[in-house]
Amino acid sequence: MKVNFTNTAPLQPGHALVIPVFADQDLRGALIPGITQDFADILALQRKFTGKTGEMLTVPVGGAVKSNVVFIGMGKPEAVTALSCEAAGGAIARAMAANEFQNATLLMGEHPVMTSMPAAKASAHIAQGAMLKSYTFNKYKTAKKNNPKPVLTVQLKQNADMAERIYAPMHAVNKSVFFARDLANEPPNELFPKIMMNRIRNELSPLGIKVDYLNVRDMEQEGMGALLAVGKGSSREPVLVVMEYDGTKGGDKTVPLALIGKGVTFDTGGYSIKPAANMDAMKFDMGGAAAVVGAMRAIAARKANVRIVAAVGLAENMISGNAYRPGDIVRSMSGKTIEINNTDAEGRLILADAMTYIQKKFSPKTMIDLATLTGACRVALGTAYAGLFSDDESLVADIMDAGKAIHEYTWQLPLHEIYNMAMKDSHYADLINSASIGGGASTAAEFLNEFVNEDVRWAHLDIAAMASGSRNHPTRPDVIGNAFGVRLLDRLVADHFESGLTPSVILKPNLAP
Amino acid sequence: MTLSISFQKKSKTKADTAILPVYKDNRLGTAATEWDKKTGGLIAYALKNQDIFKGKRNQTLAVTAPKGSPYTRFILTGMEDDKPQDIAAWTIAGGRLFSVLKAAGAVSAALFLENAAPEEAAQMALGLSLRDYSFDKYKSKPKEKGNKPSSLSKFEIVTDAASQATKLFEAARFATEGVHLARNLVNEPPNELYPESFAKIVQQELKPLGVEVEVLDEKKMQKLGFGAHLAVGMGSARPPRVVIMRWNGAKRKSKPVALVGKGVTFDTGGISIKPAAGLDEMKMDMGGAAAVVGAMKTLARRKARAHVIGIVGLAENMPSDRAYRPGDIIKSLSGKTIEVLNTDAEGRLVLCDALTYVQNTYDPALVIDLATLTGAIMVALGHEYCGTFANKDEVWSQLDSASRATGEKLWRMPLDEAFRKEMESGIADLKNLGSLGRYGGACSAAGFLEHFVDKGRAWVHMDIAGTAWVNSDKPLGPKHATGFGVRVLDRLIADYYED
Repeated sequence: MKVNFTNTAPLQPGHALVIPVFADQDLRGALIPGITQDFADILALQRKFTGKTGEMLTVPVGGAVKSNVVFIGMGKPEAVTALSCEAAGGAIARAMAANEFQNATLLMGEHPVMTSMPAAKASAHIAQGAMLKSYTFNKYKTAKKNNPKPVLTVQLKQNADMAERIYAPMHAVNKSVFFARDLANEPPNELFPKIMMNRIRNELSPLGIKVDYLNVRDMEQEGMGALLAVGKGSSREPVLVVMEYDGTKGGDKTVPLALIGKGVTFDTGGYSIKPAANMDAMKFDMGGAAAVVGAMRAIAARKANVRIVAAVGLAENMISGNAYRPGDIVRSMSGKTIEINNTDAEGRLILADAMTYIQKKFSPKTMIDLATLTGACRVALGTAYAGLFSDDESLVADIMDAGKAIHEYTWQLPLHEIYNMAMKDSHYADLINSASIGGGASTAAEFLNEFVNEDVRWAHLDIAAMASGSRNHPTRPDVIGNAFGVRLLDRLVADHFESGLTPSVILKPNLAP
Repeated sequence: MTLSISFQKKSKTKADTAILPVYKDNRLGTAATEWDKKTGGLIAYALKNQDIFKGKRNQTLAVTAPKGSPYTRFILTGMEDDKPQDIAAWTIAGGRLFSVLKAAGAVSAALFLENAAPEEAAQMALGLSLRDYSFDKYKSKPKEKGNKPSSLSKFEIVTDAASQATKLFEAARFATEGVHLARNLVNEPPNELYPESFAKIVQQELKPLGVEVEVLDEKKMQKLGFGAHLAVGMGSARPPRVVIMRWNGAKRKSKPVALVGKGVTFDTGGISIKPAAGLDEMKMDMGGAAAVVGAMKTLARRKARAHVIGIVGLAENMPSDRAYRPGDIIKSLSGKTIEVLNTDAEGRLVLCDALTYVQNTYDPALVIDLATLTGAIMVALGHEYCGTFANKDEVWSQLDSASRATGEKLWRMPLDEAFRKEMESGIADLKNLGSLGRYGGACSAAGFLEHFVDKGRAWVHMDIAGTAWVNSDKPLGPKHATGFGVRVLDRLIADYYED
């Protein structure tokens, strides 16, 4: 979707009109003199639309309007928030897609009753929600792939330029979300470690991010036996991509934050093979890596004043004569040995070596990993929350708050010595890679904990149920890969890791994408 | 309980085992030093000749006493140097000590506890008393050799704080009585324990303690409209029951705390039948009800100055010619209709009617339900934590602190609009299984129950499916029934709901 902002202008013929409506069909502020009463009559005649946040109603209107009109629920005028605007924007995108409207004009007007937020700011948030929800992945649809993008024009009474400035950094984040979604939705025959690495480099390097990588030989030299084991079965070799961004221009000598992502471009489960049903969704098993590279792109695009490093371990988990087996014992880069008792618990092996490498090379103060790690997390929390693990309560609070601010919710699950001991229950090695005492998301987290240096603040996000398969989410596309985590990390960085800038100041005009 | 526990300033009892504290890097405590001297350096010698025992917490080392010594053996117990931060660690330490003594074959023991606060000594004794449990009712008794006790029967804690510790322990050990009652109920085989017999046991146990007990039989339930609960019990020849327990020890007039328990005395799953493996364990599906009854016993025994209503919904979930079916639509006591999608999601049907009844009848200040509700909670948290759903942050923090004080571990899980929505049916008001099935299954089950909680009412749901029953011995009890919930509920009420 393309979004632009204008001050009051004549209505374009052929554009659908989008009319914001407050709760209880409150039309105060609707822009067009003389026809507001017509809208009130239309709304009074139907039952379903009340003006609650995210509701929508599309009706063709004749007379002076002569257009398709989309009513959008804004909720109570005194309770309009960034989140409710995003949801309203998402509803606009859904209405446009459902009715195949190529062009739509949102009549924002002045809305003096909307006391909680100026119209320009609300417009920007609505635009952000609309764009996020409008995402499609039609690259492989022969008829649709060249369709032009729909256009949403946001028409204000004044201050369109201000709305545009506020929107600019949001747009940069949205583009980054789309980049990550594109990676996630690519089919696994097209996207494998090397290709993903190339796409990351091509996208991130121009934004000033240093993108480096370790190939199989490099990783052998570093002793990354765990990561290498996972990729062994595939003819397409694994790779570890390392990214550095320094928005402080050398001002920060330390590395305050490292991001780690699991990137299994396709996960058959290996010899511990998965059931056939829904195995196609295993192309999303690189969702953690996609989120991390998307977040790096967003942070660099809005020139955030922070220094961040990231690593994503990319591998394909296949079955072949070379594949690793249950019973294998591998030596991780940390020196700890791991008995493989389930080749489908592969994500943690990749993360272990990626975390060791990043800590050795950069000594970050805080390290956060994202991974589509366990089915158990899905059983625990369903699709409403990602599982969040950390011993650092302030980091937990920061991550939960960041998620609440942008519709990406997390819920803390326990780390505990009992889960930790279960991961050490091997007769042959230091660790096993899969425990069977229940609490599978927690035992996985404790496995990772074994690879975190003591002085590092660490959090682990299990996004197995979040990276795809959403339904009715305000700003995520239905079913397909949605890049959960990009905005969460971006927001977390904005709120807690950037120096000299508060989140509101980030929205300065000179920080264009 | 066979074990008698006492506190003394100086050791008085003749014991076969002396337990002696040893500190970090095997520094001997006062008692250990004394006995080392009396035995010609035996203890120091024993410590030197091994390198596993290092005086760490919960480490023990048994040393056989020399001929002529008053004791048969010394058990050295590691205390490190610093005391454990949380009080629950002392309870665990007591429980572990019991197991060590039992394994050593001790019949009477004296523990020389040095520098312990009275509360710590009392908690240690509590741990011993909790661990002193076995369920051998159905084992034919071996012939006793004379009157000599064959297992640990006397335990003496020697401490300067003896008199205060005695008082504290006398109050604390009522918890053990409640826990052991709950364990007994859960361990009873399902041919012996069914709704009617469960109700009888409750009357026998609680009435003498001054708890009012009321039993609703199936006719009364029919009349009142317990449609959801009755549906679950329909398949069994043994009809369902509701048991209501009232304890009012409050001095001032106050709204009660309501404790609600799921009591499915045996759960085959019904027509949505469970797999054969592990089906025997489904006698534990009344663990919530057992915890409520156990808690009521503890409260009444210690004459809690609180107003508490206990209610348990009892039923047996069997497939038969008259059992309820997937597809049935039933009407709950609240008036809400429920489409049954899976007869094995029966616990929530029993609970919803009990929740409605207790709110309508008693207008409680707080409702807490306990249920072995979902397998999903075991996938989520294993057997370590009880998944706890609370609709008020304040109540959660009360529970959290009660949990830390007792060591019965709780982990907060989410309530959410999404989970409530998931339980809405296309053909009835609600359905008993969420659209996502097992995914988020514990959360959607809580979402179902939340539909039956009055607006604004403080409510907590504890899914104890993972914690009510364990398949290995634990510090505070042998494998199988744990009696989980009794202590944390008792503590919550003691700390926040008594006047």
